[in-house]
Amino acid sequence: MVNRLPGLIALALIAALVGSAMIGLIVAGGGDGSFGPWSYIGSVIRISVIQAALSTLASLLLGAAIALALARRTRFFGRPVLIAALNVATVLPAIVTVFAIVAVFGRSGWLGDISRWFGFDYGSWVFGLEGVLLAHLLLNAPLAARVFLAALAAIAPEHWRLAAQLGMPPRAIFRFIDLPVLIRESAGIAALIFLACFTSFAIVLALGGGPAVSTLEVAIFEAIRFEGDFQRAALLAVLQIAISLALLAPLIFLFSRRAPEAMPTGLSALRPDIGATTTKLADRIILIGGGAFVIVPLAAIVVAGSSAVATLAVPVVARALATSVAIGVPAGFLSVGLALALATLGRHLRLQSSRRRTADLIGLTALLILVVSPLTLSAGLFAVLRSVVSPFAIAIPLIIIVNALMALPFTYRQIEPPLLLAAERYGRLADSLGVKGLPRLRLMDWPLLKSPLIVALTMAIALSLGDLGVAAFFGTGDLVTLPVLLFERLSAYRTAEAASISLLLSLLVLAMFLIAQRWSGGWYARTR
Amino acid sequence: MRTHIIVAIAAAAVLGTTLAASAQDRPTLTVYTYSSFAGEYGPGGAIKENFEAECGCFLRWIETGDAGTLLARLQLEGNSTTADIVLGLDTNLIALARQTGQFAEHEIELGALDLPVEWTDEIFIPFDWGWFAFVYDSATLESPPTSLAELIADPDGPSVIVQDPRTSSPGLGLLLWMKQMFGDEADEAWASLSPRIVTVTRGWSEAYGLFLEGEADMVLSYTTSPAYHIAVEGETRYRAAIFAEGHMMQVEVAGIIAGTDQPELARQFLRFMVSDGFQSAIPEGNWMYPAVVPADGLPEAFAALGQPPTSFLLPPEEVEVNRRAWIDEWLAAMTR
Repeated sequence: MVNRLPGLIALALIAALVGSAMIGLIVAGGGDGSFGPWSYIGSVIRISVIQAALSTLASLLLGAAIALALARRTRFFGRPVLIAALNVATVLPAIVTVFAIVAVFGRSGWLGDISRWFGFDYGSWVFGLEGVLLAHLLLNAPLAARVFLAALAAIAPEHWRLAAQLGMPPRAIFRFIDLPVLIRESAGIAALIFLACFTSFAIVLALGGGPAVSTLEVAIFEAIRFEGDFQRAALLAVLQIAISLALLAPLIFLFSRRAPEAMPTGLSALRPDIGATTTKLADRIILIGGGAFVIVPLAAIVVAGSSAVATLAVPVVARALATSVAIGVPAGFLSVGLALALATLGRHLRLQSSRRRTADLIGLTALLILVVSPLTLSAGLFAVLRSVVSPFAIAIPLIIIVNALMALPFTYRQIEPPLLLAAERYGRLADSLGVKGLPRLRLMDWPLLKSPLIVALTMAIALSLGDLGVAAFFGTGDLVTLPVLLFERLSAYRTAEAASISLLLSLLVLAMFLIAQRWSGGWYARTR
Repeated sequence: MRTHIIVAIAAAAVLGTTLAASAQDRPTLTVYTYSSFAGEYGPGGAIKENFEAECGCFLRWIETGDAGTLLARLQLEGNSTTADIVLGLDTNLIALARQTGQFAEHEIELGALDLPVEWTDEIFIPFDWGWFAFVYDSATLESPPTSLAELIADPDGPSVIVQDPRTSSPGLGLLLWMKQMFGDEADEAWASLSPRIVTVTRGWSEAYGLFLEGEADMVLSYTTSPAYHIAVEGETRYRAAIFAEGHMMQVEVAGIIAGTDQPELARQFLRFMVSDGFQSAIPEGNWMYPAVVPADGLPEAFAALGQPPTSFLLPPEEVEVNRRAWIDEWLAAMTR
């Protein structure tokens, strides 16, 4: 019973929340059936697809270029800095990325100042498609680079020896050895990046420059918070779920396939193409250009933020920090609790060989949450609750619940494998010794589970700390989290205050990830 | 040791109850308004001080973005709203506001108002008015357009920042202005202006802030905005472009929430709203024309302001019937 009850409760809770949100939206969407301007909705979808496709393509190209250059150049001054910057850029909250882009590329940013110094004013172009693409590139190219680099570094040394023996020129090496690896890795990472950009919220809200560049996620937010139009929100949500589901199908396959651990061989130094003048030149350009694109915006956060650190000493920042923590920490624990309950139930079923299918379904439940976007879930819960109680009055619990559910795919993926491993390794021994109940948990599960639990908790807290959409959706004037405050400061163009809040938020999220990394061992590497 | 703690707790409890009791003696009036009204530079602070001096109450401003957001929030909150008064809607939104059924009649005998239109509404009372206009920096934009048609038509014309008509009353005002000027071709006009719209902001404050940072040549604001720069900064370079076709007008209003638990206090506030204690804070706080000109007249800076040759104001009902369709038309034109 201990094995099943918490899991069944968790499953019922998730089903009830997601199910009632969906039904709530559909009922609210019933209405008179006039869904309004198809040309607008069609445009939103068209622009989202174009934007996400361009973002994905650019991220993959830049990511692959950086990864190749890093794979070829295993030793140069600044390599550790670049690797660290790639890691940091992928975990930054989206709204902080917005600040970094504005601080560097904006008209009053570093690039704008430099070009004006040369007597050239390039005006405001950071709003609109260009700004959105830049921000998505800064967030996702480093992610692609890390995945590609791990795969390239794992190429077996035999390949390099053979290539050297055959005297393959750099172009042939790229075509026959690197390219197949890059293409193999591209499918999964492309789907992930496309989905992230297609449902992007904070970046599009802040940099889209009005309805001309939008996503369904932003349109759902606007339909309800601007116009109180649940009907349109429901239609947009259904469309988004349908499109995400089609996109996610290949991802679910990739997620469920346990990827073989890519072990870096450390033998890239054997690559015969590192001596060629062409690759030397290309790598130099890529590492300087690509490196600057990633490092300079991060540096802007640190430089602008630390010089404006005095602006943090106002009550509203302290209150926002307290609210963010009061939401992030419970959301993290709730997410881990749900994941643990689900994984325990899944393990119980999996160990009975006849129930394996059912066990797979539980894993799928955790993943399917990715399809129900944060704002779809928020809008649905709002529609259900509003006849009973004002959702604004219970905003904080609602934000905690939605954030916890949103982190579930990640927390579940941390917790499920070691839990299963513990049973596989020690289950029979524990059975034969008659170890049951709490001692079984302490002796059998805890040693393997401790680190993944901490990793899952810190990741979930970090995700929740960076959330803008859900907090902005349920929040009214009084409820201000750090990302909401940052968004307000950015909109009001109070750059110094935006800088210091960006730095504070980045440090908080980074601290979470550093704790995760400290405890991660092998598990952390596998999730990224 | 333990007795000390008990004494301390008891003292704190007594103190706490006393404070709570004295707070209860003074009722709180909660007013929803747009952010630039209650914000740091708005008239909210002075008005709060003046009203609290005579009401024996607390006045609590709740800022909610711009006027459109204000109304959407009220609709979403329904009967559970904590607002006693909503201040900052305009005539273009009052028909929609009336439809929500959340407002009560004001039942106040209004004296003479200094409005360019006659006022008979039984629910809403005006507190200020003005003309929408594009404001520019004459130091950087030497020859501003002299008509809306010129602004729209010239592909090399000035860049602009406007507000979203779904969230902002100036944004909605411009939408109606365009509709008034171009009728069925308004969507063409928007599509023609669209490449020069640097960004569409949610509220007036964001737009004006971006403009002052130099992000665009012109910003949708009011003919009265330059008065701020003249009076506060002694700066005359900011001007409002006066358009030959005439300007859309705005009358800003407030109303009482039907479910308020402070109906008397709310009425007292609305009466106060058309008195000197409130109106004197409007010209050099909200930078609009007061609904009742205060005893010592309009400030000097207002004398220098340009005035449009013609004004438009659409009947609220006409706006309400078409608002949704026109916004959808705008959305479609902007995403073309």
